[in-house]
Amino acid sequence: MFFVIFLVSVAAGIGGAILGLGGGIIIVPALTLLLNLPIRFAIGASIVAVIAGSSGAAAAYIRDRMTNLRIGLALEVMTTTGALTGAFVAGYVSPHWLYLIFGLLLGYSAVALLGRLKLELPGQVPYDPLAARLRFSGDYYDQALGQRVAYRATGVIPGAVMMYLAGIFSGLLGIGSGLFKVMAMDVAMRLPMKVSTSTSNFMVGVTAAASASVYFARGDIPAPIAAPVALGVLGGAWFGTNIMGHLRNTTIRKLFIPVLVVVAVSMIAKAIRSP
Amino acid sequence: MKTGLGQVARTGAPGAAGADMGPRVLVSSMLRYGVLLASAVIVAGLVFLLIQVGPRAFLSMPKTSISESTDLTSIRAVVRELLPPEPEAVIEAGILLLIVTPVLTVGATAIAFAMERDWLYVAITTFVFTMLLLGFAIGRGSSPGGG
Repeated sequence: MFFVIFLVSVAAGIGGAILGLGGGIIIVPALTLLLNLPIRFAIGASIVAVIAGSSGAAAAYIRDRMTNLRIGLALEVMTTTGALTGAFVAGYVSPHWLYLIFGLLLGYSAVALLGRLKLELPGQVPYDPLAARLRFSGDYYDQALGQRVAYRATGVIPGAVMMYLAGIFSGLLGIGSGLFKVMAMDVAMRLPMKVSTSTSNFMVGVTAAASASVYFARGDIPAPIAAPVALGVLGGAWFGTNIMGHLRNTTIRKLFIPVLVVVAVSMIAKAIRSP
Repeated sequence: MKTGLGQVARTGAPGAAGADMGPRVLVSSMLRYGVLLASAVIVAGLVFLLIQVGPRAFLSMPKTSISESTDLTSIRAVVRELLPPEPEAVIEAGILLLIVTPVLTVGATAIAFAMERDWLYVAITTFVFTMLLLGFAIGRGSSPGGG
């Protein structure tokens, strides 16, 4: 049992570190379907996984200048505000419509991503005065291309709106915020894919930590499950960060699309099934 | 607007070497040491468990006893239980360390930006830190599943 959870968590850690997700997408179904754990423990475990994976991966990505700290922190303003909004409106909005809206949004993102599949780097992007004011720019050394890549963001307002929605969504339903964060940065703000995923990596852990204490206090994070999850994800994240630098941006996009499609379809299915 | 563009020019020109050096090193090392410390504590708890219960603790279904307390006092209970080395409490202390690591990191980043006199980002980071604390306070404040 211990070792199965550990191995699942290693896989989630690797996947999360490369794709900029928390790994909840892997952890929750694996623990509930494979191991028959109650959903509340699976969600508790996925929170531990998100924080462990995010902190482990971000430590390396920030050092390597892949994560853009300014973009991450400034966008956290939107996601944390959104999350609080989500908590307040939780009683008034039917999850049915939410699943449908976000399923469609993710589906649209998948199509938008398909159009950008061959794009290694965004190149010249339209000037955005807000991006300049917030200094949303930077550079990193790309190991796959063997060159230093300078970039700057555009479309800050659409990106910020998507981040706010991501926050509401995660505040209400507790899933998919990593996917939205990557999409907002890649599709709307047109950052290099690696910058998007590694910045998202930093962000998801910060957001998850805010609610983790409550789950912890409620007893949803039992030590026998949390221990192998935390250690496994940390190991996986360490491994994943070492792989990710050597991957091409286009490869990461290709890995991202199937995840996006699966989640979009399952959300729309949930919307249709729920009353 | 003027000052904003001026700052772009100032940090943009030297570019590669120095931009955000302070905050970056701080965040990166706080996350790294937080994570290392947390995993060391968790491993120590598992070793305790192995000594106390034996290998079968790792083979059987984990104990998923429903915790009776539903309020934040159980965090205090963790700290209290720490005094005699109970394996589960040691592991939980490690998990708790893991949880506070990113939150404390954001708080420290505000200070790092202040040292660089980057007041816009001091404000942004302080806002995020406040929202995180608010999330702690309200309870279901934000992303339960994260990503």
